[in-house]
Amino acid sequence: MLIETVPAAAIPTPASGRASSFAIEVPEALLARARAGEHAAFEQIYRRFERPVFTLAVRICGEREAAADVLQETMLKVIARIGDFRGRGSPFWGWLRQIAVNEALMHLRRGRRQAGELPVDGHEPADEQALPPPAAADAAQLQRALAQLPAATRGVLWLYHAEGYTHEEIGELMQRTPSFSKSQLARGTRRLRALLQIEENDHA
Amino acid sequence: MPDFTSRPVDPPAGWHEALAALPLEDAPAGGWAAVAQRLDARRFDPRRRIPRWLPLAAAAALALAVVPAWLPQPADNAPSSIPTRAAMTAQTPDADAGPVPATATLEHLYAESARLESLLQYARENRVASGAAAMMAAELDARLGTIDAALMQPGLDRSRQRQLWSKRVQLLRAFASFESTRRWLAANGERYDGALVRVD
Repeated sequence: MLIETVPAAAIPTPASGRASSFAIEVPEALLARARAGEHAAFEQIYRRFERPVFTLAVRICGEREAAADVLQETMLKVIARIGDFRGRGSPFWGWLRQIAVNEALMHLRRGRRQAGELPVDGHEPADEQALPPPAAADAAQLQRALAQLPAATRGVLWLYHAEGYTHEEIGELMQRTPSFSKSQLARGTRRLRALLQIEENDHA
Repeated sequence: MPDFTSRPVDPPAGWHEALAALPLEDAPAGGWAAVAQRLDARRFDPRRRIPRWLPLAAAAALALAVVPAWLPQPADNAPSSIPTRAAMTAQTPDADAGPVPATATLEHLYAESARLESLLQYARENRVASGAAAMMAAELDARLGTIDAALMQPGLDRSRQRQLWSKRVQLLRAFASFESTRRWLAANGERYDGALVRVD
């Protein structure tokens, strides 16, 4: 799914209201230079979004090598299609992030890692709103726990919690249903909590 | 001295806060260089949504169908140390300029493609192109454009990308060979399409 312009109201934002790491303003003059094909402008855009795109790709794909591929493909597509971006009140970063998410999920599908999801047992208590355990404040522990989740589950968690996508949007992006997103979020959050509590006990 | 390890840690206010607090990852060095190389290789121009080569491609395809048959045979008195025109034209523009090794990685292909593009910039001489040679060049440009358009399609897997980049490298080799030959012939006072203007 690639859309020319993401309406401002439709840009997913995290529930907490905190900005996505993609939320970087790009001056209209820079975009105009990029649309005119100026190489230096492409590079400036690349430098601004290199880390957010790479981080998103690492979180979804789980591997740095795959994330580097996603970064490169995303930026090539952004440059190739920058003439399609019209803005009209919606930020450039929302459009770019949409391309990055599509590219990362496409990479998962190509690698057939989409099967890497937690099984659904029909009983999904919605505990994703409950507070995370204290160990979640430790970046290293949280990254280790995230890395142990199946790729699709981790992708749902990241898109929902960190980037603010809705279940409907995640279901569409992953070519699945909103229920798939809900169940993966519930089970993934539970698994993440359990992994962090194990780490917490190990460190106690 | 206080024991920091035993200090209680406040849980994050929510999962978003916990995930948002993770540091951004540093991408491997050289990312922009790789993107720039691929941009150069594709000779990308975002303003050009409709390829300029389309009208030329039709004319060039027609020319290619008839021109090779009209090309002159090798001159009998050509010095043996100098390659004959027929021998040179036999390599161009569509001849297989050598297979790309099956082990070549995408990175090797990008680099080879960029190297050949640089070579072509020097080899091309548009000011002195004859009609048929210009059309052949346009045909090669058109084929390159077709490959580039295919490379821009979303969702290409690495195997398909490798296949297209291999074709691109092979075509560029043929292109470089063609342009070099054209220059060599021009330096010797000959032209590709001498036969086209001969009516005997």
